[in-house]
Amino acid sequence: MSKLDQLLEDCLQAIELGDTIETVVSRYPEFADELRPILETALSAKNKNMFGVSPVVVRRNRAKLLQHAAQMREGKLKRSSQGVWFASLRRVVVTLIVLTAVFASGTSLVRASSSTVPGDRLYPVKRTWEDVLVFATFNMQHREVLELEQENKRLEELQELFEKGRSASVDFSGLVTTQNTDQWSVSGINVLISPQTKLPQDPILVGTGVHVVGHAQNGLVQAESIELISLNEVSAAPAVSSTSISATPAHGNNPGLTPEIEVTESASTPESEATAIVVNPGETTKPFEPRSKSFRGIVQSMGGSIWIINGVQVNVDKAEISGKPVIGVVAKVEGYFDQTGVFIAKRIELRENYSGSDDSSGVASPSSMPDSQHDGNDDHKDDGYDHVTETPEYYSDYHQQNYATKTPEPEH
Amino acid sequence: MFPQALVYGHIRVDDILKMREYHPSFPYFAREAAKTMPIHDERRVLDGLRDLDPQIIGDLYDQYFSEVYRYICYRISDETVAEDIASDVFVRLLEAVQSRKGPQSSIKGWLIATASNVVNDHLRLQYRRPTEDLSESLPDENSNIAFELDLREQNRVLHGAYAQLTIEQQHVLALRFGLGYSLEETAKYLKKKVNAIKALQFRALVSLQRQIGDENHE
Repeated sequence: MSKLDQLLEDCLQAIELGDTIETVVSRYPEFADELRPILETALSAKNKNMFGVSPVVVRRNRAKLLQHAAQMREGKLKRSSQGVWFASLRRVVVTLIVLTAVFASGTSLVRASSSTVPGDRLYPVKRTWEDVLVFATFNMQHREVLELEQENKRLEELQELFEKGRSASVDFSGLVTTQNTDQWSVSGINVLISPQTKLPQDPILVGTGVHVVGHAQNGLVQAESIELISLNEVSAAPAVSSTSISATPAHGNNPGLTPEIEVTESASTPESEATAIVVNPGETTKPFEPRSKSFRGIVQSMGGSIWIINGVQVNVDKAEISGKPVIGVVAKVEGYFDQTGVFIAKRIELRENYSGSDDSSGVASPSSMPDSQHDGNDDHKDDGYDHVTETPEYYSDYHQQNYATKTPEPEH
Repeated sequence: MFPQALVYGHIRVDDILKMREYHPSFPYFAREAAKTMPIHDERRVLDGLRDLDPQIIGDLYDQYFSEVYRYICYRISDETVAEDIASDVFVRLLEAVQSRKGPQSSIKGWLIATASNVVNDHLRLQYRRPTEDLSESLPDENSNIAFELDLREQNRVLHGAYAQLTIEQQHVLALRFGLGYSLEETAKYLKKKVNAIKALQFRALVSLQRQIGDENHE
């Protein structure tokens, strides 16, 4: 069959070039009888319906086609003008639907994420929302309060994480209150320093504002890196002049999340004990030199002579306090750190929290802090906050809604 | 030139051979040079069709209408219906291009394939509702009436036999002998190998020969 296929094709080509059927079949005598009728049929097939295309037919159908094209063009124009309308209307409707969906899901998502702690899936939503809030706050005082609140929130989250016995990657900012060889206390959080911990070139002293990134586990934060967030403060020696040096928060991820620290004159520090402290692991120790400092924070608890302000224990025994001492207010504290990491306040200025936020917005509340009672002496522990849950009557009305528990009136 | 009757009607092999003696230029296979646009022209034409540019549409029509019409005529042996179908094929092309379902590369290939599909649909409908063909034209008084009637009868027989072939066989004969496509071109449009087209052509002609014999016996 395949040979005949090819022979037939050869014969057809020869005929096309001008040979006759008899001529081509004579070249293949053994197939002549078979090929001849097929070639005759091929010629018949070739000449089947040899209709010429009449010019009239061509013109008529050409005109018909062009008319159809013109109608299509007209319809297209109408559709496009209507289309713009409908498209814009549709766009508006779709935008509204999307905005509604985003708003609905967004608010519920943010609400759901408000109680999360590091390691939770929704925790990034919480942090992002906090960043958005800070970004959208243009009043500088409000922004400052918001940032202080958020810093407190990080500390609370850490406490909660420790209480739950969970581990997670964390980051937080605070003041270095004590430094032992490999264990520091940063705003009440025990931080473990290892040889792998990335430390800044400049030495870190007690009272320095730092941003800690690490892994929280078993009541400790294993530090992966520690960054200074108030560089000016470190370089300021105790004997610097009386002019204050403002330490600007420098951490990109948490701008302004640390209490504002100012180094002021050190000559007035009442204590000048020469106890050595470790500045950085492996570095030489320096004699302890109390340095006068000031920082801002939110009053988290007031237990007798010890207040907790942004995670820092502040001894207010000798402090001159101005303003209403109420939990949740912003305090500017001046004084110095003693060897135990307690800040000895000399002067405290209290001002109202402008943010108007409630518990959920991050203001430290007594309920979020440990319940241990303060015994009134200076036997402080790193991991405990001492409270007395009583408050003077004239303050109770003031923050009744925000703070269910009461704190005692400071003894001043 | 040849008499109209010979050009438009079915002619016997002997007639062709006779005519070749008098007119050596008469081709056995009136092969027409394949008209295919270069690719860049095809793109330009497709853009023009999308914009419903009358100039482009007119040019395209002038280039391909004759070929499409002849293909359809070959398949259905009805000039009126062929004209309608050919016209419809071009309208379909415009609509397809507008809805972005038109040809991606070869416009001619798309036109022939669409014409083939429309013809198949037409034949399917005709098969369900058979109609008797009536000749619309009377034999030319000036011509040899007996000769022309004979040609018409032969054409009727041939078309009856052709209609008995499979769609694929009809298609290959229409491309090869109706439009004069080469084996390679036919293989390209039918998306088959050249050898497969050779075999298909052979089977189609053998089958057509048999069917003609059957028609003549009837």
